[in-house]
Amino acid sequence: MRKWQPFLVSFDSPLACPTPFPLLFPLSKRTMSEPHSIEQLLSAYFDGELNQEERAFVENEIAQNPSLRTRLGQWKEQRNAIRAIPPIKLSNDLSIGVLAQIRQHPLTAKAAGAFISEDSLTSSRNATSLPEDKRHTKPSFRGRNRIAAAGSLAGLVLLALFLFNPFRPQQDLAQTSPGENRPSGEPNQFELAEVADAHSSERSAGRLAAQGDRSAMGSTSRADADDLRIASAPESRPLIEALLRARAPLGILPVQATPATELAPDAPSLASIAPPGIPMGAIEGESFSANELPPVAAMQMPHRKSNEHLAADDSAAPGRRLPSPNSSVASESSHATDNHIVAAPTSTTAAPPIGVQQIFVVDFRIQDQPLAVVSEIFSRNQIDILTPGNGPSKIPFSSQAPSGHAAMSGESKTANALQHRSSVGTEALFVVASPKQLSRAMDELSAQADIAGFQVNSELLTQMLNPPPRTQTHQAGKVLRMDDLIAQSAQHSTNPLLRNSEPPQFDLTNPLRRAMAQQLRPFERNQRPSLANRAPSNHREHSSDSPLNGEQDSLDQLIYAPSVELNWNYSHEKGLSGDSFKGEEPTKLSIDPEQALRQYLLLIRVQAVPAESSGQSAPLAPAPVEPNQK
Amino acid sequence: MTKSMANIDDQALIERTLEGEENAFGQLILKYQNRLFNGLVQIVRSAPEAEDLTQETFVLAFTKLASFQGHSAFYTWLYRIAYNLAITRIRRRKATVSLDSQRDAGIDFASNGSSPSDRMEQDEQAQLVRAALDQLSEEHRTILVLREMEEMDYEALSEVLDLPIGTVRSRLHRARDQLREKMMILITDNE
Repeated sequence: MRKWQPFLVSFDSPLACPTPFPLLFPLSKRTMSEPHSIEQLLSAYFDGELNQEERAFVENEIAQNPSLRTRLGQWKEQRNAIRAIPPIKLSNDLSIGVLAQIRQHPLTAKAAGAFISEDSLTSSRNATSLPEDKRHTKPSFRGRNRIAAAGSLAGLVLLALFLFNPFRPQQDLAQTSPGENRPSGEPNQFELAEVADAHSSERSAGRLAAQGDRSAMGSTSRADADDLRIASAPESRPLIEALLRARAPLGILPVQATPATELAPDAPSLASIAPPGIPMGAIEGESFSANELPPVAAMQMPHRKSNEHLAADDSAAPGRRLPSPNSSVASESSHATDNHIVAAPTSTTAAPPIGVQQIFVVDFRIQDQPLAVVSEIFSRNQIDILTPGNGPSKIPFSSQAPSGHAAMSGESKTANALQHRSSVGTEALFVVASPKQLSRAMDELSAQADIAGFQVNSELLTQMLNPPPRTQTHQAGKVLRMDDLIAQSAQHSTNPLLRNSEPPQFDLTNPLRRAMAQQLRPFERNQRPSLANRAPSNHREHSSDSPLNGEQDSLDQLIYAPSVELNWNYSHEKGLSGDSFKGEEPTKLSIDPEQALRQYLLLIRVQAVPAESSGQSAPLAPAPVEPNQK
Repeated sequence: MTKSMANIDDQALIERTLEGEENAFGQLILKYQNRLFNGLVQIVRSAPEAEDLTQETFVLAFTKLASFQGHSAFYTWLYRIAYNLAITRIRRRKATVSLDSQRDAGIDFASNGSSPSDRMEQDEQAQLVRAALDQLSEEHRTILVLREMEEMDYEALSEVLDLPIGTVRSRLHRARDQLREKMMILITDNE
């Protein structure tokens, strides 16, 4: 919870922290809980969205600060310029095509009349009633029963028209029906419509007009209600139901609920977006028994240890400690002695993480907001931040650089850099989390007014394992939610690395996880990480044998040189070339990139949650890093 | 036409559609297709795709028309559907085609009746703004377009984008600043 701070007029300063209104000024209810700066207020004032008190305050500020008036003038010019963009003509009247599609597509014709099934009506009724003041106060457009009756009647009428209409314009048939060639995996149009319906009626509850099997949904997560459902594919439902029936014999343990990680009992299931063949237990955030893990992980299932135990281990294998889920990154990074990632120290009382842990690269574009907030949110969601090196460098957001291209300041890192940074900046962090944890954390971050945006690049790690031709651009500022993570991972299912002939005896969340597990198989012999593979502290030579060159360099640097300053190159986005990077030359290590990556992959093994019944008390030990055995 | 009158008209058309009158939905399409299309163009940055999405939106809207309860304006509800479709499409898209390149490909931009020299100047300015918008993140571009072009208030923005109003406010502010920076860079580069 952020503390209230004295109000500062500091919008011009890049180092400014957003400050809330002084408590003397009453705020409109809708903004009461959110801190905002004078700039945001000015923007809202420009839009005429302030209440009387706020407006008076801003006008007073404008009178005292002419630069605010200048800013208003600039925004006005901007608005005029946007509005002056000439509209684009539609190539043809879409009503003909739309109506033709409605008539001809049996589903839409039927749906027009009877889409609101009994199940969805039941689910809507079963949904917790909204508070009185949130209920629809206008006269109900139609009672639910009347809707169903009217819909049925409309459907019959349309069907009759379709059957008996002598006129079916042939040219309409030639029009492209958008839904016909939808690539597999694209959302069912009714799922989308459901989302629109849900949000039009019960946005605050984040509820959906659900199918029967989700009639008790109570998730209040915006991401759950919207983005996850958008990606839901109807063909996965039979699979999900089968998995539900099969869950018990698999010995999948329920996740231990904690205050930070408690799942709503009727939350929309992530399995609804699971690729086929993915057991639901792998997605619902439940622990795995040792039997369910792939052989490489089943070989040794370490407990998550307390810091004290890990300290003892570290004496034998020095390594950088990862922050425990319940501690700040800064305190952990201060113990860094090396660049190896040994384990994720946790308190013995810490709840196990939700779901199978993976590595995600989270790209932050943060302005006016210390990363301490990010760290806090991640910590609250039990997400470990793997900050390369001793902490990220301070990267001032350069207004001279194109968006998303932040030049490295060259400032040396401090152990507590992450905690104490107060400047704007951009940061790419490796985090270890399950998709669900990350999704929750992203939801919280989205609610932070000062987070510009972030993205998660799960596909980049897959590419590193078996770099295919680059097929995706690295778009800045786009929030990828859970469904997107899964969808992107699923895109790599044709990767030869993933087409293993082994029986699916293990539960893995997505192809990325499977790929990593496959990479880990050569390391079943418990070899210690070679000290020779330690990342040196400064400039290194790039391995010329590395298959990862060119466009992958930016992420490679994070892997190669986890302890050195980041030279984050956002050149992939918007088609800009690497030459647009304005900073130090990238520093690379002589370490084999796959070897370096495996240090991170080890984290997946280390963090896998052992089954309570396994009774294992073996010390947490990292799996070995072998030389590349290709 | 005031908003309330527009809403009443929309409600009447919706009711007639649900009663089986196909022409009523056709009227809704005619009423909003251009506006929706142009809004989507700015999001997906591709006129053909925006057209496709517009058609898809109306089809979807038709299937769910019975569940529209009038909490918000019909267009807001419609745009919400369109926005979701657009976002999904963007995520799966591999390349973005610049609107300016589409001009070269013969995409027709509506003329506003001004003189050729005025049109040229407007064209240049529009190109500059479009280029700057192009460089924004999808989130920033979307919220700017919805606010400045569609003139949606914060409440409607909150509903379409499914964001808290505080986030709408902060995001819009950042979007404006970002656009300003982009335009300045482009102006500097062009000099």
